[in-house]
Amino acid sequence: MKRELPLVITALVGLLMIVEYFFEIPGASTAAKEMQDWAIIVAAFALAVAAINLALTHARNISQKRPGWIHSVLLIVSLIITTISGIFLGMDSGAFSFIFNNIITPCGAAFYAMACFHLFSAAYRAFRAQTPQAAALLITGVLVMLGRAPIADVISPHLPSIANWLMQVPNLAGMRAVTISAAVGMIGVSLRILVGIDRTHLGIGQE
Amino acid sequence: MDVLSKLGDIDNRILYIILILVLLIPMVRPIGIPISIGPWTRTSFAVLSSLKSGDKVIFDFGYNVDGAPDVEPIAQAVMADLFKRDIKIICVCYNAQGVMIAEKLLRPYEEQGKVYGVDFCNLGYVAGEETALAAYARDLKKTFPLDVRGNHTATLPILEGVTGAPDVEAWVFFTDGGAEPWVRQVGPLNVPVIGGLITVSAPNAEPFVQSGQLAGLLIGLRGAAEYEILTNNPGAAVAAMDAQSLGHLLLILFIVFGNIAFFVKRSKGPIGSKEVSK
Amino acid sequence: MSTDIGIWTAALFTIAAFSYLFSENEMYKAAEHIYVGAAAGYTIVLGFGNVVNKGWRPLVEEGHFYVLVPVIMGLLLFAPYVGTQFGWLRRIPIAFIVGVGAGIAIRSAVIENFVKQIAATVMPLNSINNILIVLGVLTVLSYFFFTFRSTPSLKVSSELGKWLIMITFGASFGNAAMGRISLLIGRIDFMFREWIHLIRL
Repeated sequence: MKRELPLVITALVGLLMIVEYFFEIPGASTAAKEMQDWAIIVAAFALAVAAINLALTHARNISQKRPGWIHSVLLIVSLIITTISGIFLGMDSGAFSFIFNNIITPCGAAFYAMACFHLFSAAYRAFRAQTPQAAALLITGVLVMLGRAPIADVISPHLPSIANWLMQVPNLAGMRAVTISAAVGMIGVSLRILVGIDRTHLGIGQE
Repeated sequence: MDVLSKLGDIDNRILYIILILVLLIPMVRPIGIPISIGPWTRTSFAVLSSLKSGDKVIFDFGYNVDGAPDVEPIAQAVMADLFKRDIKIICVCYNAQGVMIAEKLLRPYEEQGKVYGVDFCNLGYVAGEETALAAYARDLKKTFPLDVRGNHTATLPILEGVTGAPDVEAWVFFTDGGAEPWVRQVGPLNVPVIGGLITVSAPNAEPFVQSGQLAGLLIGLRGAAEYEILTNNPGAAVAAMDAQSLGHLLLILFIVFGNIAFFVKRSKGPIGSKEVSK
Repeated sequence: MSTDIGIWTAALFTIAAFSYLFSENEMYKAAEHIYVGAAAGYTIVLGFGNVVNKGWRPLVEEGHFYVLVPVIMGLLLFAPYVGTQFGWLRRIPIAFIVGVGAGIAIRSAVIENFVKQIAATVMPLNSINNILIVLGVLTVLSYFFFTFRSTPSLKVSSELGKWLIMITFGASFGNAAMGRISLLIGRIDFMFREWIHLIRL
């Protein structure tokens, strides 16, 4: 029951979603739309579970005074203030907007932008054309970067055309093959999940 | 050789300062490098410029604040163009952070006189990513019974006659991920789908443009700058292009220099052999 | 320089985040933890709003009692917190979400990612570009045939495919680099235009 019930649910619901898409069966479309709606409601609860797990982990850090527990205090305080301001004052309140615009936005953007610094450092020290194929990769990358920068027209009118050609012919061919292969993989994995061969998402393990 | 070795061992912090200066200087003192228009932006512009006053377009905000510097200028440029031509915009959010991002972008237009519920609306976010997209692409009002301001969506004038994607003139999504969820869920619904993508995702989306599953692409900050030029509304994206050009040149210079130093060192023999023999 | 407290807050958090580039320090760790806490709080607020709009309101105000099923399933996600003996109940809502997601993924991927992409590859071979695209797709696909017996023609085809993949990844690398530069330009624009007023539009 503990193992079989979840597998049956996955199979039935998945089958309904597939059958509704390809066949005209009375009632299937309505049932499928309702299942999608239910999945949205369950996913809404799942949003909170992730955040609550995070809070509990850091609360444990604080209670056990693990190294760095002061930072965990900052995390919990910031989580509580954001949650209270959003739920009780509203998402359009000054407090919630302040937190989103002046803490979440700059931090998120800055952490992601740091990758640029690491990229330049790696370009200087690590991007080496040690094999012919690595050279092909680097040369293509350089041509695409050069061709897509506005300065390309100043250097040579052919550069933008070369970059566009690289994107629209060889890149297209390679990416299409990758897309088709990934689709086959996605179909395979989804089928394995639906028929119960792959159960890792349930914490049961594979057959 | 010694110079090459010393330059090869330069501290990372000096590289970072060089990078910041190379990007900052052309933003403070613009050079004015002309910007040509790429094929993807031309195609997207052709689709969007065919829309008429009163047409309805869905804006789907699928990016987080992390990727906003590359994607948000596209949303700003397209929104400015569509509002100028009195095209109505229905906002939905594929990502949770899209709710606040959409509100931030819409607020100035409301202050200028655009009416919420008539000229635009923000339906908000529902959890579930592609599952949610599959639901709201087909039935907006059922998936979003209330909008972000607490209004019943069934009563909004802008949603009159609109159930899902087939009832609007275009679906424009903005994402810092891939285009595939929209290709899979919105593409089959007989509506032109245009993607505003982060530059990183552009190569992956190319097959869908060629196959016609996407009506157009607007790629990153460069795409936003091109759209601003096409709509005669140059703004922040155009202003950033000089820095983008010099940034690209600096990166290419680092790659070329690094490889020259590597091959020169390699041609001198195994690393450290001279030190060992001493 | 700006006098807005919000802009100053954002600028200080940006500096704290970038300070990691010079060395890991307490200011960076503090900013990181405050950001993670705020982002998690934002997620809880959105989740709460969704539960109220899609679950509570239809159930209590509109009397749609069938909504009780997904609400109970959602609550089962918290079962492990009640006691470890109830941990297995969490599998039910996970199984449901995964089933819906897998079903939606298969039905769409078959047509949009597979059939239509193959159909788009079937094109008239009346130009060099078209020939290159068709050959390119076939050779790269042949590179992924890891379980096929290696024949001379497959070896040649997969070798060509490997070269084409390198070109594809090169284009991806070029675009990734461009994207990262744009992200940094965005932060520099904020710091030196909105905060320090050095850049004027």
